[in-house]
Amino acid sequence: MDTETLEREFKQKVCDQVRLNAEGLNRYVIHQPFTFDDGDHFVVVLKQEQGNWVFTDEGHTLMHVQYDDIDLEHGTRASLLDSTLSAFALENRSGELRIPVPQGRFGDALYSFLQALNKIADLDFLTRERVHTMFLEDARAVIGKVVPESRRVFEYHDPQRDPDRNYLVDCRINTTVRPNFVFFINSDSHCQNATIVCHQYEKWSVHFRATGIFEDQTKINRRALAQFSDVAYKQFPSLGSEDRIRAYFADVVRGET
Amino acid sequence: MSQVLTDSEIAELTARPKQLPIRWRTRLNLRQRNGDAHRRRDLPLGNDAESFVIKCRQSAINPLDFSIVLVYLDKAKNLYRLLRCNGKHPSQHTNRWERQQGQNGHTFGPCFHIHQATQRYQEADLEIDGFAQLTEAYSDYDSALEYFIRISGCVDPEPRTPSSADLFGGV
Repeated sequence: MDTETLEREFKQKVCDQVRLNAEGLNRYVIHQPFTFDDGDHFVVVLKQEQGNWVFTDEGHTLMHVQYDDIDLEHGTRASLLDSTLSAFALENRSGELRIPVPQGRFGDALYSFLQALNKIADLDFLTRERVHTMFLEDARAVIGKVVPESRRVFEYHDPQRDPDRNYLVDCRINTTVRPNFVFFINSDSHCQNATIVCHQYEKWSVHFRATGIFEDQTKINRRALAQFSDVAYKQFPSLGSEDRIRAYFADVVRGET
Repeated sequence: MSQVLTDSEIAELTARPKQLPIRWRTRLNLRQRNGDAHRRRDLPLGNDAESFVIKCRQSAINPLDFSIVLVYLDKAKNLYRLLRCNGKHPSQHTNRWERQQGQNGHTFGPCFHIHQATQRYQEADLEIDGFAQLTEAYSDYDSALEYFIRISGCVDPEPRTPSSADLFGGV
């Protein structure tokens, strides 16, 4: 491989600051100016495997993005990651991001690889508050896929007994048997609030079933969870089991549960 | 909402004694392989309103690419990365605040380096631990972990004796 020609191609396709350092057999580290938010530069390594050249991050990018326990396997972030990988033809091999070099087009492949890494690095810009909002949107979307609009009311309150909206239900699903009150729970306080709402409706002699969908049930305080478990008919520990959630609500709509 | 930690608060939080559990080395051992490109272990410290977590990450492909992080959680459970011993990942690091100020030497590496939380980075709306300095205090994950424990206020219930330390490169 003519490294000078290759470096020139990288500079032409990407930017002048790209440098190529040989490190190991058929392995080159690409130094470039693009960084994560903390100033660490992206890891880009060009190496030959079984006669084919690939750019790889050697597993660094997803490790770096997940310093703050960001969940890249479920929800909106997982969708964004998948769509980015797909858009730039990257492979995710158990956490190692790779892109093959097609027909000697090293510069084009590097350009795509860096663009993808830029987008993936942005995933950790999403703040905790934003992720909570995303959870609510994701949870609503799951309900929306199964329950017809005419059968559901998001942010339901009883207009007669609760005109001030003090006892909000995240989603009320009307069935032929009894309403199902669904709570999207992403914090201890929301869990406690859901319990209070259920007790209030029981006090008003409303016959209903309560369902809890948690963002991450393992992070909920044990006492708050135990109190909610007393009033809930069904709980889902996260949105990860979407198929089961959809099957359950399909049964709810049919009046079978 | 996260607050800006002052440099003196950062220093106090970093130095605050943190009792490690017994067998903490085993709990932070990253040698087990599960086929993933990186391995991870977390060790929560304390159950108070304020607490700390040690987070360890290591690339399975390049063992010199690792991070050992001291995270502080305030009463509202906001996360602050106070200290991070990084390995020698095959890329550089740029101290963005220093670059913005036009200072020399803002970019270095690849090399072992330590990220530290600073007040000035938070006030400039940069990552709290965006400032890093190169180090020769360690040369692999194990020696970095021992060094990290020494500088992060951790109290080791099973300190290594001098003779056992020799077995680990004098750490």
